Amino acid sequence: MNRFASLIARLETVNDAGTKALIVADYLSETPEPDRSLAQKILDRSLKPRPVRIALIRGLADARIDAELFALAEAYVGDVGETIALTWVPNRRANRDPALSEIIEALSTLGRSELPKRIESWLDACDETGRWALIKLITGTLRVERSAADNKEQPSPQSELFQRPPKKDTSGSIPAILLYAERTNPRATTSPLRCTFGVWDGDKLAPIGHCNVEGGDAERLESFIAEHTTARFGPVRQVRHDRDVAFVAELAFTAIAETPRRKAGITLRGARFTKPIDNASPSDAASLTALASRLHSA
Amino acid sequence: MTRAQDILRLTPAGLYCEAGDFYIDPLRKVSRAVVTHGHSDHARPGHDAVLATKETLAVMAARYGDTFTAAQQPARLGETIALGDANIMLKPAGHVVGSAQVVVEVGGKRVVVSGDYKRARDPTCPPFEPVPCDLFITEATFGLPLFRHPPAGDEVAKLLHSLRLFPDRPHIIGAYSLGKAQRFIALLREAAYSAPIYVDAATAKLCAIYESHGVPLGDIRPAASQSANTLNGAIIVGKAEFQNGTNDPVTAYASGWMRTRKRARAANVDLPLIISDHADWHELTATIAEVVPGELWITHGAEAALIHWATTRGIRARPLSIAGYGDEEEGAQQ
Ligand SMILES: [Zn+2]
Ligand SMILES: [Zn+2]
Repeated sequence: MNRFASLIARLETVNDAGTKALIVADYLSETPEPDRSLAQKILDRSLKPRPVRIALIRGLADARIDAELFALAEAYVGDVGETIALTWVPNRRANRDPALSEIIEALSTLGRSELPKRIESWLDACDETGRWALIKLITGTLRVERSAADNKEQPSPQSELFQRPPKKDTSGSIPAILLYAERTNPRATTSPLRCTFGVWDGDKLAPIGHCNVEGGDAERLESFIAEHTTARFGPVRQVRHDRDVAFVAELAFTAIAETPRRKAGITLRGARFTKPIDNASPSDAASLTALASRLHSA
Repeated sequence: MTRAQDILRLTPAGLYCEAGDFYIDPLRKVSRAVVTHGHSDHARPGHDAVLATKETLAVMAARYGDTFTAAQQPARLGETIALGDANIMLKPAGHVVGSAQVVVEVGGKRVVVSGDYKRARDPTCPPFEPVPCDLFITEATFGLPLFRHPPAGDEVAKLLHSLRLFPDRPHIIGAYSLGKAQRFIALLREAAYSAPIYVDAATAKLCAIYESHGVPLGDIRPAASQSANTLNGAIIVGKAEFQNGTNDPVTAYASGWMRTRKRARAANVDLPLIISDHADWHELTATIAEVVPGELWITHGAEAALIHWATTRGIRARPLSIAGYGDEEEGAQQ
């Protein structure tokens, strides 16, 4: 699993299709059957194991880590599965990580009662990248990245791997709430602010997209950040965002995209900060359900 | 009766010790500064007198010119120095060349200011030495339980694997010019990589300081004066801007922030490598457990998780917000 996981991670960061193809070929050439064929099927999405609920894995993690520490880590990472992968402290070192074939077979043969113990032993045996990809794979949220430049068609020997689905117009604008901000260049106080915005998901806010803000708008944001920073993670400032106090702004976007790997499940592509919405109440911000129905009706 | 909490206090110029009339890593010009290490958020020019290791003084002179202070006072690691009513001692911090913790003793009470530190092995500087104390002032750049840096050798192996896969392409590693670059080069040499390594001008200057203080880095050459063909299949360490003059480079970036997928994707390089000169969560908590402080003060940002951790273990902990201490790893990519 660890090797397959590091392949998936590499494909996320490599930009160039030729490089991607070579990395895939290198991986396959060093992988014996049956894992080679399984990997190929997962890469071209023709194999999707019956998914395990993330709540089951979350339950395993709860037994391992202090709830408050987990919550702080999750707020930073923004993804439950990845947070579990990164904070998991293995109980004992297994001498090898599970093979893909072992995982796929167990998922289809083990009963509900046997599965948690087995997953726990896999998490103990994998490295952090392995745990990350394992959780994505078994919860059915593993996605192999196309290019990190979305408007280029990428030719590829890996069939549909790098191709894009036909386009629907889902552009628009919504009121959203500032969650995090950081300087794009921490050394220059005039550099644009990279901001993460969220929308309501029940009583919580789910991160939905980010954009850079500069000029006068950045100054407005900055005075809010100065007064309402609630936590700092390196250069990233988390600002207050609740039903009483939050910074509400209008965000325009070119598309709504489904991103099962993210906490919110959807992401705004090509997000742009249009203006702060003065006198708006935090409750005026959009909700995840509204965005999702907009996407599905488009 | 002196209380450990009263030995140092935070002023607009930085942490001040009244008993010894000196500042530690001051943010403004002061009459006497004790400097933990050469990173620019800790070592600033213009103080009347600077006490630091000879390596740190050499780094400051290389960056700011010989006139960065009127009086340089080199201190040996482990040597006790009396300043007014305080005794101070520098102890290795394991962060970068010459990096030190500052141990301050007044009236039988001891405060340790960690400066930046790590516990992972680094062939370019002596390891961090834990010093039991009444008050420990620790950095917490990576103060969240998700940060656990993998063995640096494994990350270097990823780069060497890429070099085997793409033997004709230059490999450019973005790495901060003081510390990260030299550690990375030293790790490459440990992995038996003996070819010339190309660096930018700022990194070259600092490599020379490492060499002159007994840290061999092998064949180091300036990247700027080379033809594009020379750099094919070579390793280039330093600022990422070199990619303009090279053929189809594979780009990498070495930083502890590469731990999350979000930050790894945002780095916009082919190969994010998790290598840091700051303690990860497990090093931070293990160190605090080792120095058993009665009280803990936390600098550099991510303090909430560490305060929670310390409090549940009966250690009084609070944040110490020193505006101006940054994270050198953040600047490296620009
Ligand atoms: Zn430093
Ligand atoms: Zn620092």
